Amino acid sequence: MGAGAKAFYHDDAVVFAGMFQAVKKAGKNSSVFRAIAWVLSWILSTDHKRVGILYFVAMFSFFSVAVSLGIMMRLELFQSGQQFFEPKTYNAMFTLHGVIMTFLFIVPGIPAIFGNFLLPLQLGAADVSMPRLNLASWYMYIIGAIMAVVSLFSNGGAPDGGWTFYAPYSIQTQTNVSLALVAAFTLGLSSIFTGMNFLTTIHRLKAPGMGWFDMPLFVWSLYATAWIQVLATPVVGITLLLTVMERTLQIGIFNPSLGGDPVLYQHMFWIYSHPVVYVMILPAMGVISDVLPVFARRHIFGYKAIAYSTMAIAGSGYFVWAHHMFTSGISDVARLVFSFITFLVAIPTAIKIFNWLATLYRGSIQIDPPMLWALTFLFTFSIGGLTGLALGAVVTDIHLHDTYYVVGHFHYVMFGGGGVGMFAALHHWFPKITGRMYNFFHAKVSWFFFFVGFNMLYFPMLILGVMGMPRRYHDYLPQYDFLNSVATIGSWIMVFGILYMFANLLKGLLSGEKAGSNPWNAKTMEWETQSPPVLHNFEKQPKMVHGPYDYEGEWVK
Amino acid sequence: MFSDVADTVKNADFAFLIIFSLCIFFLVLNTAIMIFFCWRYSRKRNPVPTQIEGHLGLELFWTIVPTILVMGLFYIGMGFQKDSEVPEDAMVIKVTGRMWSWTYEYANGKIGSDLVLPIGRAVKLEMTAPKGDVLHSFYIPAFRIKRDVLPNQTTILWFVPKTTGEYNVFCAEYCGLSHSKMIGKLKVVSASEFKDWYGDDSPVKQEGPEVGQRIAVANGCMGCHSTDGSRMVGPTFKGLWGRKGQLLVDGKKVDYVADEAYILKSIKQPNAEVVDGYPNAMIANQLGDEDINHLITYFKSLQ
Ligand code: HEC
Ligand SMILES: [Cu+2]
Ligand SMILES: [Cu+2]
Repeated sequence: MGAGAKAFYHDDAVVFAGMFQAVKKAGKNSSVFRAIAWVLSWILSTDHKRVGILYFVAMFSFFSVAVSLGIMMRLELFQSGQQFFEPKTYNAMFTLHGVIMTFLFIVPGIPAIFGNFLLPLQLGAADVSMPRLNLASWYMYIIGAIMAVVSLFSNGGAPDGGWTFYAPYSIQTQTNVSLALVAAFTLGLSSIFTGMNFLTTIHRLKAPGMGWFDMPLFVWSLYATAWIQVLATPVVGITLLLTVMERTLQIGIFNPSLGGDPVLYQHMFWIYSHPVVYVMILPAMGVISDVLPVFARRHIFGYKAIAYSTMAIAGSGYFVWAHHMFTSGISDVARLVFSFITFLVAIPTAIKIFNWLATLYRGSIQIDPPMLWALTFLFTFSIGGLTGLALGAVVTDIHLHDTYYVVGHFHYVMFGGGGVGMFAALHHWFPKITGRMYNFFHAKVSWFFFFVGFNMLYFPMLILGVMGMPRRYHDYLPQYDFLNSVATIGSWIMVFGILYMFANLLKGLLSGEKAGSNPWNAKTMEWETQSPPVLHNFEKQPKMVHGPYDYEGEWVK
Repeated sequence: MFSDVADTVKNADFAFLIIFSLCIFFLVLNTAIMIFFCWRYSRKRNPVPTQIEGHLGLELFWTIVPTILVMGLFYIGMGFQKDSEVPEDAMVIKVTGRMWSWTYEYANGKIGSDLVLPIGRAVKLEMTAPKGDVLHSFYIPAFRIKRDVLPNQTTILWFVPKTTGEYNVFCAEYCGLSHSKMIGKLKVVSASEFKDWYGDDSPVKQEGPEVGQRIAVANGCMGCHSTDGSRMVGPTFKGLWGRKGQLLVDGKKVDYVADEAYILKSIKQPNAEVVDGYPNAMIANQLGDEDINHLITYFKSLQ
């Protein structure tokens, strides 16, 4: 153990160890007790790997609910006119879909699952620096999620209004805004905990000999993300406080009936939510930076440029929020200033794309499933990023704002970026996490269905938006029929691909071949221990002997 | 090359052309490079990778080129209709967006639920939503313009229509149950046609049922009630006067006849009794007894 690691080291990964031992003892002869002990060994464990897997289970359960809602929405939109659902039902569905997908899935996303599992491993540490806080953050997440679900269904049924909950609609619609905000705050607190934990871990627990620029780029992305989590989330707290003041003391803040300003709500909302967009996408970028070199067998191109641009994105994300508000009535000057800064923020992203492409140059590329997903990211995320340009320019944004173009754009970014990045991570680290390997052929076939369906689903939305179809529409004019039908059919193909992919992974988990400690022959530290790793990760403290992308002399093997 | 239905279209479509061309160019370029590299440097063709850690020149190249490009895009994006540049002689029209209809009031007091405009003349829309209503967003896709409409505040939008025709007006900000049905019509007509329709600037005088009709339009009743017998969110106004029907009171059905007292009550306390078969969706309003009497005169005319 390094000096840093020792300071934070815990002997036993289970909190309430005494209680746990008692249950275990009592369970010797009873299968019920054994089952309880098994559950406790998971939900009381501060082992970062188990916490990561707890997150995985919780988040993908929510994900499947939100996907089902999405499928139902697409069914309703198959043709103009009412198909299956009343407007009231439909409006609740798109709201739930948005709330679950953003707050419970893609925002905690990669850091909570793969960050938790991999960060200490990639640093050569025994655990995160505050394992108990880490477990607590999972509980905060679960409590927040439960509150969110309760707030959605108390006070007169499922809410509408969309995941942005713009005032004054959200205040008048009788839904439980206060509780929803408390839920968002609790989820935020969970993410602040995770963020602080990651920051201290990265500062304190790097393996001996590992400097800042020896860290894998995935760690850099978690570092940048953690700063955003810690600095941006308190704004939700402020918004909550203001809303509570408005509701209890009748001080007009957001509600025009009390003399408040609904545009202020939008400012508060986006000051938090724009940086959060980067929480969703930066970790995926980190995954790509780690996967590409492994399958191209060469050093990442422009390590420092990628690391710096990661930090640049995190640092500048706070200054562009009003690009969501170009039509809200803010002044000409404000629109120009925010458009200008928005374009500046596009540059670090462009730099990254070019560095990734250059990483393929003169490599020795083998397209195994993780690589396939990483290359897909380069394509779908490029569409996401490029379609953002028309939203950054004021004159075009005015036409496109709140149309299906925006829906298409952010699904290409969130799903084509964050989601695809997560699938890449899933295929890349699956052998490390489970100790087993999945079937490559089926992985590629399922990818094919996903890829075709994904583009059939979201590309038509971009065109529909340019044609002027507003979003959050239960019904639309017949002129938009054709493309909507295409999108709906795409959604079936895509979901089939996702189910296929998970079936393949599940089969791998249950009966896949043993993967061994380093099936990809990768160079980052998590591959130096066995799969799955032992309780405190490494038999003995690993030392930094080569860089994370050091494939020099590779071909000799 | 660009459609010329309004003065706002040219700049927007020019920007779209440039931006989307650039998007397609880079998407094709990047994807082609990616696929080429994967093919050319596949493990089969290139078993021995070359370790390249970076290249400052290239790094600078693909920092500077995107910087110049996005600055260009920013510049092109500046071509939007500035609020500060409204022509002084613009025709001012007051727009009210409410759940779930648009109404327009002209300088002479004329009120309509379609926006009728003369070709070639600058118009300035002063838009608001009634107190207690929610956000809406006034959107004319054909003109590439959009502006949010807020309760208790006035936002503006200005443009010059240049081609006669009918255009859709959408609401682009989610506003509840019938958000997707909040579709209005914009009719751009020739100057002489407009004059026939509009009259002159002296205040319009109205008598008899027209007064009630005006009140109904101005208060957004037409968003939920038709006058031609068709069913919308609420029952039609056609034949309302003296109509016999059933109310749902505490889960029991009660017969009623639409007389003066009944209409007064259903407008003043819209949620007290609900017509059987309809949702309890009508929103409270600020109509006084006198207004309602005018409305009743109007309803009587709709047999
Ligand atoms: C948001 C939609 C909506 C708007 C706007 C609206 N109404 Fe209604 N109205 C309804 C519905 C739904 C009913 C039937 C249910 C009920 O009785 O409350 C109704 C019922 C009525 C009735 C009784 C009709 C009958 O057949 O018995 C009258 C009269 C009426 N509305 C007048 C008005 C007037 C006047 C306005 C404008 C100030 C108005 N409504 C605006 C939705 C609306
Ligand atoms: Cu943003
Ligand atoms: Cu609306």
